[in-house]
Amino acid sequence: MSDYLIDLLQTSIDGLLFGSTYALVAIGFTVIWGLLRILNLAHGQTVMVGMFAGMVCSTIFKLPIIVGFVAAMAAACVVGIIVDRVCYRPLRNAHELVPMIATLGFWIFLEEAFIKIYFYTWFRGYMDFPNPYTFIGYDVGPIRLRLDYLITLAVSAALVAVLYLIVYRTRFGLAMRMVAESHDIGYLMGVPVRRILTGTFLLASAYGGAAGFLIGMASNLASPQAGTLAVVKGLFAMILGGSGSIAGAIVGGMTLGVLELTGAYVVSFAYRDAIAMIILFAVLIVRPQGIAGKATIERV
Amino acid sequence: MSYWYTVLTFTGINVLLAYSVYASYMTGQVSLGQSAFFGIGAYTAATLTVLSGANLFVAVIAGGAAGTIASLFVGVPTLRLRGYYLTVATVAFAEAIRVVLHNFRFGKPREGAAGDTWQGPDGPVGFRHISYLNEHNIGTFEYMSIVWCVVLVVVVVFAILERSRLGRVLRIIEEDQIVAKSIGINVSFMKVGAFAFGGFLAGIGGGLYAHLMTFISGDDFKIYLSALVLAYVVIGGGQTMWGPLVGAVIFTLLPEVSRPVKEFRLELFGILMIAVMLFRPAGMISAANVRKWAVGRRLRALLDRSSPRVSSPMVREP
Repeated sequence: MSDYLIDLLQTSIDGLLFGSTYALVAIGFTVIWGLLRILNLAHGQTVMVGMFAGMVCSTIFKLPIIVGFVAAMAAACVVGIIVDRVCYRPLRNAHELVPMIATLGFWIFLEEAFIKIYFYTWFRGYMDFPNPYTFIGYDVGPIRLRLDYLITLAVSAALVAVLYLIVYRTRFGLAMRMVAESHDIGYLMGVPVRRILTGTFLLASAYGGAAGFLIGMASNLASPQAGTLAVVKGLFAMILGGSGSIAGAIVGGMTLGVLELTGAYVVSFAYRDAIAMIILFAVLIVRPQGIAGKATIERV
Repeated sequence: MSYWYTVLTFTGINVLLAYSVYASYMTGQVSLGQSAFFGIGAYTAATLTVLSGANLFVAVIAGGAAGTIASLFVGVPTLRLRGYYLTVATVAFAEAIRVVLHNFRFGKPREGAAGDTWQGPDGPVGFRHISYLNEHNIGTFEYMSIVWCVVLVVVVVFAILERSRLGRVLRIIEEDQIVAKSIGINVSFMKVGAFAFGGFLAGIGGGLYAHLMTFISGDDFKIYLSALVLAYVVIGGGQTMWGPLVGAVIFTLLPEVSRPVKEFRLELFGILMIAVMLFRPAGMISAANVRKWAVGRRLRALLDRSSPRVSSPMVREP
């Protein structure tokens, strides 16, 4: 194989591995979209808060990585609960745009507040995210697999498996699928819809926090702008794969990761976002339901 | 004094941006990517005046045309679909355009200048030396007048639109797309048209902004700008044309008057957006307010009892 092809293969595999974090973010969007039919623009902030919680635990308190990971998920859950209580619960009967704009307000508020806190306390201090696996990797033929990317993929895969178990093998998951079909019928059948929705927010936020931790670890950096980036990439991945379905979020996230890195390699690094966007538009024109979506969009 | 003229010019540009969001907001579509059309308009207009010596008027119109084309590029594939696709696509588009503008390099070397020797967009360095106003001796007061003339035209256009059949058609689409379709309205066409008009306004605003600033770079057109502009409309009130105007004017001037507000303005906007959605989804100025205050319409209502009702599904009773 020529060097060009080997490099291309290498970037594709890196993209596939790193794309698993995008898939985790997209899962958060897609679960809430599936149950509520509302875009949760504040989801990026759970990613950012999770990233910072992990950074504080691991860098400042020097706790082991696994503790940081759990702390990231827990902190993100707190944010998720707040979003549910502030932006969704009081607005359940409103037009679908109303909660979306409220979450946009939450997004702006939290990100700006974090930027202020960040600059006053940690600027040039604790921005490094601990990554004990830097420069470790395994060679498979001509391809080098980075250990931190492999761990990212493994953790994401485990979380996705857990999600499938929850959705398809537990009573809570059954109730979730019920609520995704129809809130009203759920009420009539005695499903505690409010509690299920709060639980869904917790689940989505926990996955967002996990994604934040993994992104921070793989890129060695905790930044207040990560939330915005997560919103852009997560929505992108969700639409690319097909909104409302978990499989779609996974396919979309992986595809986005590969597209970004190979686009950067083949065409130009500077324009990689533009390349990914053109492909998204092409998908929207040809298959509006997304790559993995069904003709009538599947819910959760 | 010239500082305040500049502030007022900014206010005018923000009003234009607010109306650019409002145009598609009328049909119930939320755009989070006006910064992209704003940036495209700014780069197009500035390139025309700097590199080909075009007239400011021509350049700004060309900026508007570029914004229209870009918004058609986003709108045609996404507005056929229902719901939130436009919001997502505009977020993605705005990020991509910011990156492209950040890396865009085009132009020619500058003659007889020490130091910066590039004329035109220069990648991450930005687009410098947009000196049309200096070269043509347009002072801050004159430029403010020009910008506010444009704003006045746009306000009049929206006032006419609001009272016309077309405005009512757009509102029906916001209310219920299926109903709109059933009475023979071409929903996709109307939505794309409204969005493209928004892109045009943002492009014009961008052209005016570039010449005011004399220096622009890709980082001026972050997604924040779009969120802020949407905030003007949402907080000001999206039911009538007065909301965007009042929202943009108040929230551009308030940070200039009060220092703490300037420091924490984005946090304030965020909280205000949540509060408005929770307690007053119609925004500061609702359609009911306008009806109450509009003297002329009240007189007409006295004459014939069937005064037109402008309402919005944003305030649905529980």
